[in-house]
Amino acid sequence: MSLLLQTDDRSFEPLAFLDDPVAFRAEVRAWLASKTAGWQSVMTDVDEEAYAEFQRQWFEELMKVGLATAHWPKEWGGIGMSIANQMIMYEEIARAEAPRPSMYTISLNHVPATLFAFGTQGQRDRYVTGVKERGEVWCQGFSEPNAGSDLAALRTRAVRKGDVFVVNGQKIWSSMAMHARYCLLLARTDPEARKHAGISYFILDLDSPGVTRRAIRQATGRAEFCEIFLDDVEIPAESLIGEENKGWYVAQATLSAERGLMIFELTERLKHDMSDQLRRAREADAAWLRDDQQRRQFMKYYSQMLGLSALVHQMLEELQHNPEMGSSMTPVYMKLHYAQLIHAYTEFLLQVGGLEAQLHEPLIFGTGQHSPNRMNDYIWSYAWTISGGSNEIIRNIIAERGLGLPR
Amino acid sequence: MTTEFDIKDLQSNFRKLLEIESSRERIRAAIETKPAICASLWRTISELGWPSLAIPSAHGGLDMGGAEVAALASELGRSLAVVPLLSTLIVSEAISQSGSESQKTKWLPQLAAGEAIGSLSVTSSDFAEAFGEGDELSLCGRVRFLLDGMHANVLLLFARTADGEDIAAIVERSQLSALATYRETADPTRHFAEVLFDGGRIGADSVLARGDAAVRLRDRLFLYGGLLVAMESLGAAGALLEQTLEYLKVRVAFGQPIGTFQALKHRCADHAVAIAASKAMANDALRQWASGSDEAAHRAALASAYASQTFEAMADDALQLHGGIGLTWEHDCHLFLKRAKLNRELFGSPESKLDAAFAQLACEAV
Repeated sequence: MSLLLQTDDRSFEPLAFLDDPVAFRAEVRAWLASKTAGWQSVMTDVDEEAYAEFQRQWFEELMKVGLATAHWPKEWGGIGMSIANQMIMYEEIARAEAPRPSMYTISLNHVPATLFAFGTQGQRDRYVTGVKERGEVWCQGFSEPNAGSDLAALRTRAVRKGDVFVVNGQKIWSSMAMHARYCLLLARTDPEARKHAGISYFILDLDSPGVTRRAIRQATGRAEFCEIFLDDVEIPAESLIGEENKGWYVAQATLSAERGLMIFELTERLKHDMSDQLRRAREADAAWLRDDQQRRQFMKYYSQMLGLSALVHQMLEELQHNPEMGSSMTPVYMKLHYAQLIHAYTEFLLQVGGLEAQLHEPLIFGTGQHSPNRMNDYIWSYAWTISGGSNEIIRNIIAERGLGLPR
Repeated sequence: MTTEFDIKDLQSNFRKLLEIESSRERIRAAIETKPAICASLWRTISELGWPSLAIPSAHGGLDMGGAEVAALASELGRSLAVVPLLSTLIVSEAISQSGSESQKTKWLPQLAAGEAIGSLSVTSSDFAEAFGEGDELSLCGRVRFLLDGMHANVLLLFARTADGEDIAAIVERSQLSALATYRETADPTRHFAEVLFDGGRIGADSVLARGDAAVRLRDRLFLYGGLLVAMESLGAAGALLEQTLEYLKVRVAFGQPIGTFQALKHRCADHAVAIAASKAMANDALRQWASGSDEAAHRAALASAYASQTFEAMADDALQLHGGIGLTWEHDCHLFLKRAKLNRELFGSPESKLDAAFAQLACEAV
């Protein structure tokens, strides 16, 4: 059953207009309108299976018009869409409040970034093609129950036996792992070495014997996260990415591969949400508009959003001149700024909504940080303040690597 | 067109000169002799053309844009230089934008050369009362917060007639019998004067704009002033962060540099992020202001409110992170803190800016 609308039968070809920003924007906008109008009602109060199916269909639609992998450079088999065009694409996606292909985040970003930096030609042929042609879903197996912020303390063991590594341990917080086929896995291969130096990076086939997955229900009520238990799981030696015991290095080099444009998209979504909230508050003559403190608080968040947006634009401009960006701290600044802002802003909306805002509202799957369910948005903002480096870890990184304070 | 690279070069030249000519010792000396400006610094930067940065080349200026002026304002904030440059830059901008040819010819070359010093009031409620028929105007009343008012020989004044007509005038100090009195504020590095007008006449050639045009000029100038103050505040905040980081690296307590303590590190990280975001936003707002975009007004208001918040937070924390030494007169922390509290009130408080931006956004949102 198709979960996406087909209001327009004409076929869309946004990639045919890459040389003309105005036409490209118009084509993306028309395509989004034909596919995504009203998707939120289809995804209201569903289950994780239905959401996964929705994600598959949305990914397929994105692939049909070439937008899912448009950001891939040519050497990855993409078209190397310019940053300017990517910005247009994400502006339109945010404007349409289109779903995010969140089930494919790892597949579309971390997998190719890792394999093209450190993988073998065989791995690239097999797995990058798998994403592109078969929509293979990947998850990340990094965190463990006792290795979150202190990731390098991970204890999952991989012991080499001939042509295979035998893996035992437990992974946690792997988003969408229930629906994934493969996992980017970090495991300890040298328990004697310094903790960062004994880790290797693997491709794990989640259908291997000995792999057990269990969904974790989150505070929002949804169950995107998973635990992965590994009991004598055999990983073929050719599934090692990079050199043995160099996994930490591989992971560091590819972790923040796409942060710039991801935060760009999220900032655009936030901008739309703020305008929307303001419009609706005026229509409803909301009390907070007349409360000096609350109204100004809203404007402060609005300013912070503009500040973030200006920072992202500045970084993307730099990126066009200098694709490597060297050791720029700007992406790290952006992550912390966004996390703090989305957390404070969603709390503000909950607060000004009063008791009414806490009445039960069915969940809409796939809305990200902005939905009619303010408690859900607020609780889910912790995903930003905790995952991908908690705010505290990010502040350490900024203070030590950016500002030069002693460890 | 100037590239970003040129601007960085230019900014580093501003900084190098101010580090020598406006050193901490010289600032301290200026504080002791307040309200005197650093006269030798004013001469040097005038010779280098700093006051002429944004003045059109036809009138003796360097014809540069907002980015260059922003870089300059940022460095002035960093050094707390005691020179009447900000006020002169804003008055020059007013004349460049709204002046007649003869007004431009009369004033801009003098301002560009640093021979004339400009002054304007920094609060929106500061109006003189205007009397008279047609072009024959006299001024009465009190204007309370003229930035660098006692140093200036050119005053940009806003006045209102009994009928409520707004007037913007550019007046030569020597033409007025009015007295400028120094109003000492907590910040000893920035000077204000009050001027009491006693009905003295101003010539017809003094009027820059009347009616709606005068209102528009004042609004636009206050946004510009707010943005330059924002740039200055962020330059100062950046300097304070650097200074605080240096202190955290060398100050030892409990057997280790206090910069190793996470509770202190994290605050520095937050300030670094706030400064970076405020700066990016202020630069963006200045570009929009220069291009006359529809969003310029609320962007400028928000950027200056945000910069003020960033600088105040940094100045507050810098003093705290320096501990007892930060609370001494000899240490510079209080100079920056006083500047932060002063800057927040210039060209409208952050609260009034947030309210103005809200009103504008809310109109669009319907």
